[in-house]
Amino acid sequence: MVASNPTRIEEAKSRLLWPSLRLLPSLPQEPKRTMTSSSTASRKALSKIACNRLQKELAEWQVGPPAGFKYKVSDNLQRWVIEVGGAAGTLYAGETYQLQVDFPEHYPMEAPQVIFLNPAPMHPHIYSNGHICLDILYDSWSPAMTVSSVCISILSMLSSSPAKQRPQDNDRYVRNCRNGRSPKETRWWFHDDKV
Amino acid sequence: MAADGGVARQAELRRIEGNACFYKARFGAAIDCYTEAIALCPDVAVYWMNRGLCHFRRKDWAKVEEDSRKALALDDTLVKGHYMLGCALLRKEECALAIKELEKALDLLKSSNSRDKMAEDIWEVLAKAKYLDWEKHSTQRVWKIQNLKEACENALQEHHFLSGTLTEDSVGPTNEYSEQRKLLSEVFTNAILADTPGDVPDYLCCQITFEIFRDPVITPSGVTYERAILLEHLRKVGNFDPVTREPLKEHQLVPNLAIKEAVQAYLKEHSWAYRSN
Repeated sequence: MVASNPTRIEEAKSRLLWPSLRLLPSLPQEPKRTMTSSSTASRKALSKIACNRLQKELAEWQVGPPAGFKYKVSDNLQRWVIEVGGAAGTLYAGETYQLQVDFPEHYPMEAPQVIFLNPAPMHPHIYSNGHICLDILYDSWSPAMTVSSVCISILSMLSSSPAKQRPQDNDRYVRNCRNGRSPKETRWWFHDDKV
Repeated sequence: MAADGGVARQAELRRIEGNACFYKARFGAAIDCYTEAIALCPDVAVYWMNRGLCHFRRKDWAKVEEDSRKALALDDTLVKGHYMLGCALLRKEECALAIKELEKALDLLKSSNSRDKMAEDIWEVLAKAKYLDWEKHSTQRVWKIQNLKEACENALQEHHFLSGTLTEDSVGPTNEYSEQRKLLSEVFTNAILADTPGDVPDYLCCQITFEIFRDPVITPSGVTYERAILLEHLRKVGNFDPVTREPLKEHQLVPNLAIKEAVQAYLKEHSWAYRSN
């Protein structure tokens, strides 16, 4: 359903505002003491709607996965690990990375948490702890998006990278994210990236 | 008259007492109260209904059937009565009868215009009944067709044997026998196609739930969604169309009757699609 639906893919592409706009994390001044709150929340069992939908997404993925991605088989429907191959002709050609996708109880009403597992690709929008600065994963999520469309967006973000480098504020951000804070807790905001 | 009024009042008091027990989940005590109310005024449908509800909560299906039938004999418009009777019949695997009751319950609920959780419950049991009914009949149908297929294959073979054209391994350009056998097999595959569970076409499924539509609504962008999930999206995620991201408010939604009819037609032919996970 996903791969054969051009509207949905176009949609995913059009959400990709790179490189004119980018998101920057706004860091809370005081790191919260109860940082595990979101990770426990994300471990809450999937709702019936979420479960049904993920089973169907997985079945469709197995029939036709998006090009360049490989689902690593597991019996955990709530956490998918996906292998991404850098597209030919881009800075990441021949390289392989791993995405970890965690689904909240009320998926798809809430966005999944998507991070790169160590080592994360060097990219101006990807922090060294694997957090990805991409609006559709946070404020611009829509329940009509799927794991598949999210993957396509991420690959497209990788492919259009002009240089293998970390975001400018990488060290400061990663320092503030210790204790395994979820990127969904970060208040990302749009920032003009022309400079 | 005066005596009648007294009896009715007494029965009513029993009912109130029974309701209090019911809400405390003391079903045995509640049954006793309703039984007394019934003894006093056997013509009041609600007393039978309420006692039936107690049996329902205790999963005492034979008694559920008995009481809901009595209640419905007095008042045929009781949604819960048809629902309970439908559930009890489904327990007995009387699918066709259960479906009739549950559909009646849904119709009554629709005309009363109340959109509560009840509709969801009824639909769930109805879907289960339809699926069971399909399972029962399809096994028989498929088996009969399979037998017929074998008989036809044998007859075809015999026919070619008798007319001396049984050249199964010949590679001639017009091998009539093998061609006919292939065609026969195709015909029979098609005959059981509707009874073979598969994927519901995408155009009959909501792009959020990925499930077959039940109450489809169309947005000004022309995209159709399942009503309940779209309302949840508008409430929790934001006022936009999930696919096109055009601004969207609840009052702009219109039922998509054509898709609804298409779903009904599809389910009629492919009842396996009633199965939910």
